[in-house]
Amino acid sequence: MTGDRDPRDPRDAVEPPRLAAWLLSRVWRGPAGGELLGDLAEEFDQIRRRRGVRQARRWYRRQAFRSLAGLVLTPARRVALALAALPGAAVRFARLSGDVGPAWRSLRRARWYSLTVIAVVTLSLSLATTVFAVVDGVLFKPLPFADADELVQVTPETPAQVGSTIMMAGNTSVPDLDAWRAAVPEMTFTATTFGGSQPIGEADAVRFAQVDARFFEVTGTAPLFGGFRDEDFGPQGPVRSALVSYAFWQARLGGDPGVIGRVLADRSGEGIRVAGVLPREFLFPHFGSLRLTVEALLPLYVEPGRRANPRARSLHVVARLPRSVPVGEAEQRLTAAEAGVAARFPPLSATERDGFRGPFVRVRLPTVRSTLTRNTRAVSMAGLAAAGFLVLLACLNLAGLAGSRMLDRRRELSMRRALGAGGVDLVRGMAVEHALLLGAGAVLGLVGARVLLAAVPWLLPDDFTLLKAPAVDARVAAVAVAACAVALTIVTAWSARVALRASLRGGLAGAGGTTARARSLGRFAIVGGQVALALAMVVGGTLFARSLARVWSQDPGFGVDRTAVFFVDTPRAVDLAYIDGVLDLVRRVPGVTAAGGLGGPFLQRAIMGSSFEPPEGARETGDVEHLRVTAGLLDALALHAIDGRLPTPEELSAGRPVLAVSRTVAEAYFPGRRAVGETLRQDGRPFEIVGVVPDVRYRSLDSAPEGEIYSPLAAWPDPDIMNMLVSYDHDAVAGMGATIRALQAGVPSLRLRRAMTVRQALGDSVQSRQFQAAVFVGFGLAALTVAAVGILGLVAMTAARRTREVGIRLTLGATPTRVVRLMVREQLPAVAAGLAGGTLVAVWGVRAVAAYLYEMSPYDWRAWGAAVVVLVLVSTAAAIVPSLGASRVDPVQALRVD
Amino acid sequence: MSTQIGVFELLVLMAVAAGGDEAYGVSIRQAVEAGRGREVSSGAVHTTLDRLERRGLVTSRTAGGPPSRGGRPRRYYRLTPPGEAAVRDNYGALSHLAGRLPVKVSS
Repeated sequence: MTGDRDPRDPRDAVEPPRLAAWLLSRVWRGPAGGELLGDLAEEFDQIRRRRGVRQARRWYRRQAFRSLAGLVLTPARRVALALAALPGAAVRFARLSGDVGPAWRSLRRARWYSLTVIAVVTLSLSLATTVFAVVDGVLFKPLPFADADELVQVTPETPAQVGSTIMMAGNTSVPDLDAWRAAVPEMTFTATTFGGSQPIGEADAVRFAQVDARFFEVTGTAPLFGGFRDEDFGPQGPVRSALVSYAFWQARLGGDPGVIGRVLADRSGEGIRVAGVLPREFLFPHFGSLRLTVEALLPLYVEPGRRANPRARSLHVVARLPRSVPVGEAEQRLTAAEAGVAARFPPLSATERDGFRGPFVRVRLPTVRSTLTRNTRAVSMAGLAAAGFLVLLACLNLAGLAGSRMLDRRRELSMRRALGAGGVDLVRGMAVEHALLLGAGAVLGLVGARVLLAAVPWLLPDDFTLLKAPAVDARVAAVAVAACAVALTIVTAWSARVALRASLRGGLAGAGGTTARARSLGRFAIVGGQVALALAMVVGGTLFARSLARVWSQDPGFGVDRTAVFFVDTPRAVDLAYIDGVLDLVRRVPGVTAAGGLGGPFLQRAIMGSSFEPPEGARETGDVEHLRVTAGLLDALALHAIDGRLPTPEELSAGRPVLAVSRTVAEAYFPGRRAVGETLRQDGRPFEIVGVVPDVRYRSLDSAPEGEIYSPLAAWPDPDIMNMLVSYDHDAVAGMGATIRALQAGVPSLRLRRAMTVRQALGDSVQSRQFQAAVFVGFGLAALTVAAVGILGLVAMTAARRTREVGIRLTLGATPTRVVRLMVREQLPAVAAGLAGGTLVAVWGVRAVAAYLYEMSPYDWRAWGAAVVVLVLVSTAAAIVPSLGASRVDPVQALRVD
Repeated sequence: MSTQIGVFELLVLMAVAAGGDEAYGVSIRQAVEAGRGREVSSGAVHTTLDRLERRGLVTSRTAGGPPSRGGRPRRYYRLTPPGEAAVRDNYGALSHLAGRLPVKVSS
């Protein structure tokens, strides 16, 4: 490298640091590469001779780093140079090449300002892009179906459902479907079922949906490879053909392309045979959930007996409605066809009529997209609006800070104008500065969004259907860039206004001016606007926080801390002896005080209904739930009799026709008399009520009890359990592990889906509310932070400009306290105006989220009061902190400041 | 004002002018560094020289250098008449304004 060396000087053998030289030779794409390396080598040699090898090497590395760092700005310069070659006035604005370097140095000098701006942009953009990444998967992402707008969910409705928001799936029979096909031949229908599991090994099962042979044709989709054969849709054997999901194929089958024909089964021979793999983007058209995604599609076979039975309503029907047929007309024709079905067949008996399976009086055709997003659309829109507010707040904030900085720089700006720089040149320089800061903030914001998105799958409630996994993809990046462009326009426009006015006033002459209060309308609007937006968002946060607190203050009516729930799947051939065996095993685990099984869902927001006939003279009730229970369940729930007694373990085990009813049922069914001793009938079979128990929140923590009837599980054919409730003599968390181990060792055929304390299950039952609260409280806090930073920055910069004025005031006898009071008081009108404006915005905005609040008004005075108090405190603190610093200046020093 | 240039560009042009016919990367960098009182990167100097050459404010020629350059040539720069005018005008404006400042800025 160093060419001919003097052999008498061994130090001549020293070369510049190899890595730095190599990097420069490879990476440097700037001009005069050879000359640059030559210059550095020459100077390295000079320094080495003067100051030694170590110093020279350090110098060389530093030079290499600085040269390469400078290179990062080169692409922007090239673009600017290319634009500068264009003719016209606009081109002057585009001639950015000379502005990047000065902007960079200027920002480096104003380190605190730069860091503040980057922090504000990072905070607001990371939250906003995270929300957009999630919402994009709900509202905007195209569905993975051909002509997805034509796909509708055929929804027959009973009188109870008309006009309500209750939506049912799986309530159609084959005769219904045949009648619909005949009524609207232009439509194509596919019948499916959703929610079942098929074993694929010991204590392992796959969640499946069943589809008929027309499914792929109607939805306009196809398997990635493989597919069903015609004979797959015939009677089913123990091993069923299955199209597995892409995720299942990758995770469980190793992405093996030769997987077709592979059998996964348990010891009894029940299982699946892989017939194909579904595409990665496959989505089952059902209002399912993120976690309960379909792992396999199985062919649907309806037995001949059920095929002819109009009451065997268990199908979920999706159809393609061509655009040529108006929705209203199709709905009318289907409704008329359904009336024909009802007329042809005998009406349902009271026990069959649970409110959702007919008779149907109307058929609706909501689009599949609307049903997929029905639980999430409104809250997604609200989240998106909050994200937009936060970005707007950040823009105002940055405009305020940038405008204030321009006032500080008016002297420099005046000098540049005097040197010939035009207004466009100054604005261009500012735009470059802001673009650098916004760019840095945007990159950090997207990194932040990636981190936040990693936590999203755990935060999202089960019923939050996403059409894509949330990720920082091109769409999200495009939104971030668009937000930055808006911010850049607003901030540059505002700071240009401030700067041009300041420099026009003759900054050189007025540079030493003592008062620069800038009580302009614009600045007033910026502070007021920030406070207003922050208030609107903080109100959202306090409303949701209070709503969640109200939910958690509800008494579920049963034991919480010492009880755990185990969600289980029993093998197909299950009987009472098996269930008793499992429960006995659990009861023998040390610390267990009671254990019982429940033949229905627990805290899963499901409405199962009751088929007991209300007695003559019963009052109207809501949806009474019938719970089939084993011995031990009422003890595990810590339920006690408030009248009569609980059914005995012997009665429950033997399946005696006895019932316990909750207070609501007792009062509604037997008004004015005792329920104990009365009889309720199911299909004519009498059950005696032996006791009354308190009402419990059995569906979810936030759904008010509508009445429960407890009967022995053993009294019914095909007994099966979905959950076990186990109570302990100490904390449930500690006892669950031993229970799980005992179950795994003692009954391997029992599949344990999930196990959690009842407190956790209560939390899960209000997951949506917890998620909403997390989102809106997060936005409220972010808004508060951004507004506080904005006010603090503005006051700090104003205070710095007014050092001389403060000095004069102190010299004339003002106390530091009075100076602080003066500065804080100057902010008050803007804060007050902001509170008023924010109140107006929030009064209008909270109506959108009123439906998501738990039994409270969106105008709850406590939540509003808390928001106002918090915002006033934070604004005042943000104004006081920099004022305190300003009031402590030495008057003599202050007067010397130019 | 004839040509608008930045402060760093003005410093580089002045360093070129000061170097006469012998101004090249190392001497220019050292002169600018001495003028500014803090380290200046060689990459920034070369990028600026390249820009000034494209704008017709300097011209350059290459010639051989000492062995320590590893056989790489030196590139010598000198001002063009527009470059001289740019230095004169911009420096003149700066000194004129500096003279009017209430604070003394020159030693």
